[in-house]
Amino acid sequence: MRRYQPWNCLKIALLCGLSVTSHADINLTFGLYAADKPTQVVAQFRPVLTQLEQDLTATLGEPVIIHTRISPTYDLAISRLAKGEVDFARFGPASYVLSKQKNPQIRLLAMENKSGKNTRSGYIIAHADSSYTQLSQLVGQSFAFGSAESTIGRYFAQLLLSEAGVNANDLTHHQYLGRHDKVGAAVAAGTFTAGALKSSTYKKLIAADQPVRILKKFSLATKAWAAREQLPAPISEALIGVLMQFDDAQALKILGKDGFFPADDSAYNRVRDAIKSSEAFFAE
Amino acid sequence: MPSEPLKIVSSLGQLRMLWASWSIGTQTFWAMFLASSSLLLLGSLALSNGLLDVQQKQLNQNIDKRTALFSSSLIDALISEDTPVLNTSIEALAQLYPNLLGAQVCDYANQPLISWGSNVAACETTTAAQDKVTSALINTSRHDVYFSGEHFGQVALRWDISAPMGELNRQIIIINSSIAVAGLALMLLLFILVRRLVVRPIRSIDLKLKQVQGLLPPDLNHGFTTTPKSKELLALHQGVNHLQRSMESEAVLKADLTDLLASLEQQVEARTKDLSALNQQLSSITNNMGEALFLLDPQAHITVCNPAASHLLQLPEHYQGSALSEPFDEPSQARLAHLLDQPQETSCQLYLHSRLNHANTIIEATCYPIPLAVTTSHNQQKLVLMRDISLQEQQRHQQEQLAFQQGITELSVEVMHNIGNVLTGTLGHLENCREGATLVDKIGLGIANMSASMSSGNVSDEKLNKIASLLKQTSQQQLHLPLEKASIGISHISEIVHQQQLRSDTNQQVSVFSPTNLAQDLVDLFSSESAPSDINYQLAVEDGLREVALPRNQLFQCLANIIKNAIEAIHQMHSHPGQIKLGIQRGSHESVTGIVFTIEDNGIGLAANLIPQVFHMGYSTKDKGSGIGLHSCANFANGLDGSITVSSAGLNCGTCVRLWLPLLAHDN
Repeated sequence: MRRYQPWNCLKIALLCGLSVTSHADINLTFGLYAADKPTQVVAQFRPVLTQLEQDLTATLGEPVIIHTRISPTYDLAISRLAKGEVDFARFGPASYVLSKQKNPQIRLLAMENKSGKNTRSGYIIAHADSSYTQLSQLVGQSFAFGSAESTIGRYFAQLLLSEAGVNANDLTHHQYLGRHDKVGAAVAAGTFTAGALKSSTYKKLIAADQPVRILKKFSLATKAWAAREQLPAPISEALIGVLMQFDDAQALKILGKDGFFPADDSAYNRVRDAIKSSEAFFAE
Repeated sequence: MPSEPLKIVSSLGQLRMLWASWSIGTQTFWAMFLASSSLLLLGSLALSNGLLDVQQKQLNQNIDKRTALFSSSLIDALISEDTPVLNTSIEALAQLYPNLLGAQVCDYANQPLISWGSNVAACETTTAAQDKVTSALINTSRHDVYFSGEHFGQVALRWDISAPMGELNRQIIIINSSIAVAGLALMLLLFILVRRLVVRPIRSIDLKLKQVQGLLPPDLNHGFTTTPKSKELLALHQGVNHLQRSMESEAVLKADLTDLLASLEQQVEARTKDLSALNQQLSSITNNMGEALFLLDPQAHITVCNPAASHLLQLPEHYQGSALSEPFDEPSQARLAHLLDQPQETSCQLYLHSRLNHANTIIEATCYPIPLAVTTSHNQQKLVLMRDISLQEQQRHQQEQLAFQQGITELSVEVMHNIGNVLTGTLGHLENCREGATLVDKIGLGIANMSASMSSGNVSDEKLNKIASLLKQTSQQQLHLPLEKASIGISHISEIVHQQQLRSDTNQQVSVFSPTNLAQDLVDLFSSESAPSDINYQLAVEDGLREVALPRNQLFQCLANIIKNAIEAIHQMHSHPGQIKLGIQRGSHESVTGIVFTIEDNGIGLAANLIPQVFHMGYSTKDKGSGIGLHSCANFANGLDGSITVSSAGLNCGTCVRLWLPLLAHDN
């Protein structure tokens, strides 16, 4: 029986690698999920990716092309990064933690910088005319969550509710509406007593004179940029380098961020706690 | 039973007979009818094809627009690869358009996301795959989906367009039918018009002609018929007319040619006169030229020459074809052949020695290019100019001999001068000897006095008296007398040297001489002094430097001193054969044009610290050197506003002396 020798495999891999690097561009796929309308997501990220292509080309000395791959669901996006179907991705904290749970070899590249901090805000809101001032008062009420994989829209909200002594059984009903804007619209319309959403969505609601107010404010780590397992080290190092040096003001303005911070996986420990506590939220 | 081709030929023959039996009017009608019908048919075909093409393009464009619009509506689903939404959209489209046969949506990497209906190869990028699925009744339209400059995939839809194409074909048939009906109506109208306007008048004339023909007698009637003979006569008449016109044209042409020829003859005559005058002038010039002029054919044979040439080489009366080199000796023939082989672009010169009249005749020959004719290297003609320069060369040789002798004389004067200096020194030494002899006399007298005192003091020594006597005798006979004689002899030699110096004229007399001959004389002089294989001399005189005007004798002496030093420096080096390079060339010094004499040897060389002292009076690096040679060279160069420099890379590295003298007014 013929056996494959490791040395032969290495030689073949080297030859393939050499032929690829010497004759083809570097094609990278960037994973996202459709938290908003896909065309809006592309329009939001394309300037950043175009600048990244230029910076990576200059750093690696070869033309780099980045293709945006938007997954219709959080699950699919997490699965694609975990399976290595995309080279790097931008996830919310919960999605990053879940993908890391699926494949521990996923490497955190950077964290987004929002106003000089690596944290951002989330809110639990209620209708502006309601009299609720604390989360514990939501016993016997309804609650609107965002996506089932959303950090703000689900996990942090359920953590805070659980800490306030409100579990799933204490609510009359709850529902995952999929998107933050839907949560805001539902609470404003009185369909749900309260709901969880991100700060930018809340600002849009206020700007649109929607009748909502903040019931609880919390902070969590900003979104993560992570690379798949076995992404070649020169490329991942180059990615980290250009993200740390990223200063295209126009692209950052469109993205709504102020830059990037070095990766700190421990910043997502609170999210990991929130994911674990979601089980307690549904406990009998 | 006749075969098919024979049937066709037979039919064609019948048609021709039928055609010939018709009147001209009928023939004209049917010709116009056929031509119009053909044009009508071609026009209707072109129109229908054009309409079909336009309509088909319009249909395809509409389908492409519909595909693009549908693709734009799918952009969000395609970007997010949302296959359920894509499937739903395709099914909705199929319900809206029943003629949709198939669809396929591909992602950015040309991987199919969904496929519906018949196999649409949208994800195949080859042209062959696209052509395979497209036909006249089936249209496959594709649309690439881009957003923000990024390609997200492709949508391909296959449509059944047989229904609109069938409708289109029906419309085309209606149009063609209308055109055919209109054409037939037009033909009918044309038929009526032609019959009324053309056929009937011709038939009327034909009828009247036959009536006239029936009234004439049979013999005259024959003239109205178109028999083969009359046709022949008619053709003959036409041929005669044509021939007559041709003859008239030729006559006109001939007259023009005669005029042109006369004009050309006049021009030729005028040119001939000019050429004759020029030829006479040229002959007069060449015949009166003092220089010999030869025109040679490519084989260097004389084609023509002037009287001076015949006289110079004493050519026979029929010299044409004789070789130019014949009157010369063998070395000169070789040099002449070399001269004639030179490229034609430049002239060159050579000296030839003739054996005519048993005298050494020196001829200067110059070969000039002939730029008049287009020639090749194999048929080039050459023009050679010769002149007798024997007398000039003889005078120049005598002048150089005289200069050489003067140089030798000056060299001897220099030698005598050195001898005189030595003798003068010797005289000084002799004077010292004389003083010593006087001292010996005094010593002898002292010894005698001492002997006398010793005898008075009871001490007498006869031996001391004898010694004193012997000293005195010796000083008189062995010192005083020979020294006196030597002094007289040396004074006599000094007087001779002085007289020789007085007789020698050492002023700097400028003469015109050949630097090549000067260098050769120097080499001859020193070659005769050394063994043939002892020192190798190399001469390098710049091309074209034929004559210079300088004090030849002093220059000869100066160069001889330098070469003598070089030889002595070489003799101090026993390890390798000696080599002296003597170069003469033009050179500028401080923007003044002059001549540079360079003497380079591979002798013992000079240490760097000694170079500044070599021109000092009395300084010499040799054991028996006088220190006068290079000093006199420096004086000579300074006297002519020239310069002399010595350079050496160090001991055992040879020496190079560079003497620069300015060109005087007579220099070439």
